[in-house]
Amino acid sequence: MTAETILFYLFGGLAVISALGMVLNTRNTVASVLSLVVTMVSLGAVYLLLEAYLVAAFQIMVYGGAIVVLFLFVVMLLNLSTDEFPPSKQRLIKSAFVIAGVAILAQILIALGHDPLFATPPEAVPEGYGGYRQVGILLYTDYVLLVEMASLLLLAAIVGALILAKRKID
Amino acid sequence: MLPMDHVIALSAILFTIGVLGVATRRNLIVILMSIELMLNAVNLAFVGFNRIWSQVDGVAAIDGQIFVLMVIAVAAAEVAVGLGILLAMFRNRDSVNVEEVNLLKW
Amino acid sequence: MIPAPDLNLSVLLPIILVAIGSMTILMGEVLLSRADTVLGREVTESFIGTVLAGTAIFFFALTLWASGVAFAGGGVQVFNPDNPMYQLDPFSSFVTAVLALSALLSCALSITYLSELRINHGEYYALIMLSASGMMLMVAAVDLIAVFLGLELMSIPIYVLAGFDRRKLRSNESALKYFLIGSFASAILLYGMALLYGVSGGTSFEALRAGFDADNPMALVGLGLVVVGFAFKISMVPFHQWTPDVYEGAPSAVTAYMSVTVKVAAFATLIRLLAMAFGPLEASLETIFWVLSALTIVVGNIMAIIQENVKRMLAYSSIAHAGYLMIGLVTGTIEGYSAMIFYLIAYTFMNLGAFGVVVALANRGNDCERIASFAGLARTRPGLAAVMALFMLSLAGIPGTAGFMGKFKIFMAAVNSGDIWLLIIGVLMSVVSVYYYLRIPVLMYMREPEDESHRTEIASGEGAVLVVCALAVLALGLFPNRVPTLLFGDLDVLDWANRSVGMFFGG
Repeated sequence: MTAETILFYLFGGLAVISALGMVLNTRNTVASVLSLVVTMVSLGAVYLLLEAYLVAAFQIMVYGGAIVVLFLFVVMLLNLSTDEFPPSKQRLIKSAFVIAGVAILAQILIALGHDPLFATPPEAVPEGYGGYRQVGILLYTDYVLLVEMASLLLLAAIVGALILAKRKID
Repeated sequence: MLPMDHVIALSAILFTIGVLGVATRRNLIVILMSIELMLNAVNLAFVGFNRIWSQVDGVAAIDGQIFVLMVIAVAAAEVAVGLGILLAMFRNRDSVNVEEVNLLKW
Repeated sequence: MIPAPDLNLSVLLPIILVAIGSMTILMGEVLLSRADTVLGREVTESFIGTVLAGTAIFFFALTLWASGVAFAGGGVQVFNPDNPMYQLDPFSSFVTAVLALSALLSCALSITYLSELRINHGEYYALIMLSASGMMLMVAAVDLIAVFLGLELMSIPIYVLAGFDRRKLRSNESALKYFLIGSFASAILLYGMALLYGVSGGTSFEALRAGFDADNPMALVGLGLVVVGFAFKISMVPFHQWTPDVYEGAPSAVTAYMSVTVKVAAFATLIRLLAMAFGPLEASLETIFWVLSALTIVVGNIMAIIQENVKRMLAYSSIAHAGYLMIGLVTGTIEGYSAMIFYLIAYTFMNLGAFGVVVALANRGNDCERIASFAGLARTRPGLAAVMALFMLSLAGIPGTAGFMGKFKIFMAAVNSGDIWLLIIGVLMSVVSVYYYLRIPVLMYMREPEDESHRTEIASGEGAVLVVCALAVLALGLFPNRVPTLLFGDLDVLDWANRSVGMFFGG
């Protein structure tokens, strides 16, 4: 086992444990949010191990930095730090969801075992793979349409959030 | 080199945890966070697959990573709108309990 | 030095027009609401709303024209030859034109309704335009990334629009429910896309088609997840539970818009995915679609019977129509796809019309929602009652209306590809649907009016939309291949539908 692999299992395990912690913690919403941060940061580390450097940076800055802080902000603003809801009554739908989710997981895991894709380890990455230069150049040449459409998407989100959340009505 | 099938398995496990969170939790904030967790699992799958397909016909390919960047942008937009909707609702009613909004009524 | 990409900006014209329109509206609202300092005179809020709605209609008309020109020109053009993301071809330009037309009609329908609710803000029209630009990206996308981005750009403004009447709790709830279900569905869809990318090594439709191995279990899981993601969007049974609640809670004008355009865009995208990307996997999809289609038709129609609320009834009816449309997907033939396109056009007019009547009856923001409140409408509002009866007949599929023509084409396609059982289920359930659709005309013409306070006058925008929809329903039902118009000569809608999907079959 190389150092890389050990780090992967370490961060992967951390991500799973903190994700479970977020979902299973029914007492304290703030703790759930903080578990989510741990998941995000561990995933960022996994991205580094997978040599996707720019994505790793964005993962930590946008997810860990911006999105989770927004969650925390709303939890504090609405004063939701304790989560006192009684357990759900709609057992049928919930169990259908749980069964479907686990079935999909099993399906994917079985598929993984048989997939020839993983029979050989991937070749070494080309020079500059996943760096800001390659991603940047491709974003503004081959994928320029997506950048433009993403800007429209963010415009829509800004307008929408303003309309829904601004204090003054009319 | 990382065991790539374990990377994809990790992403599948995280995705399933997210689905279970959406299905079993009733706090709307936690449901929203579970959806974010699902999106993160998707990102991990994209990055992992991109590591396998880092070259297509000898040319460097980063389709998966571009996809991840777009997913991050979309996730940010979704969270902004989602929390806006929550705030608007919270002003009209002091609850963020799913069943009070009859979310899964048949 | 990086070589500049060889971009083909003119291909993007429909989206560019819509995007510019949305920004014009946002800027225009700021300027007009400061009119006393900028122009030196005060303007009222409803005047601003009307001007901005006019701007939206103008830009949608330009888009309609641009995509119509592209359709007439034929041919296939891509935005970026190095990496085609967006492809303007007969199919996408035709669907774009349909989307622009229905968005235009929805804007005209909204003006008075929103003023009555006192929410006639420019942001409403800007959001409609932004979501329309997402739909136009999605239907013309030839890459999974663009499909996903288009889907989100379509959905996020609609989440907001559903909650646009933010003082009303049920509008909030509608937005929240749509948002949670919608983002859950897009996460599922995304995981499917990730798996498809994993097995094929590319995100473009071309790479997907080339990289597929129909026996690979991971490809099948990915495909299944993508189908489930779309199933939520077009409310196929069993992924439909959100539909009635969301349709009921959202402002009626928004419901009219989203019930029509989202379906058109999502079905068109499914057609393109099936025809261009999933090639070798089609056989395994056929059975899934068969079951989903039969379930959707049966559940939609049965549940519609027991509804007491017009908007819920129309929601279940739209689920049932999604089921009929899926018959076209099951056949997978050029006949089936072109029947779907024709049906989508017919559905656009009849559903917009039916919701248009509900909008036109709303009084000071109180929707006329109970089915019982339609009693005696023929006495008090004869014109509205007549068009409502026409739309109900068309939704039920009575001969002479667009709905009948659409169903006829779809069922014919089913017969020709040997799906007799789907035909039988479809026809039987259409007979069932006559019961709940005709309840409204019966109430309107055979009962005494209740003392329900409907709005007593109709606004010009609503009137125009209803007249256009009614004429279109009649014209498409009576002469689908030569719709007479004063301005443009005879229009051959059937031939257009054929030509638009013909490109997938080398036509």
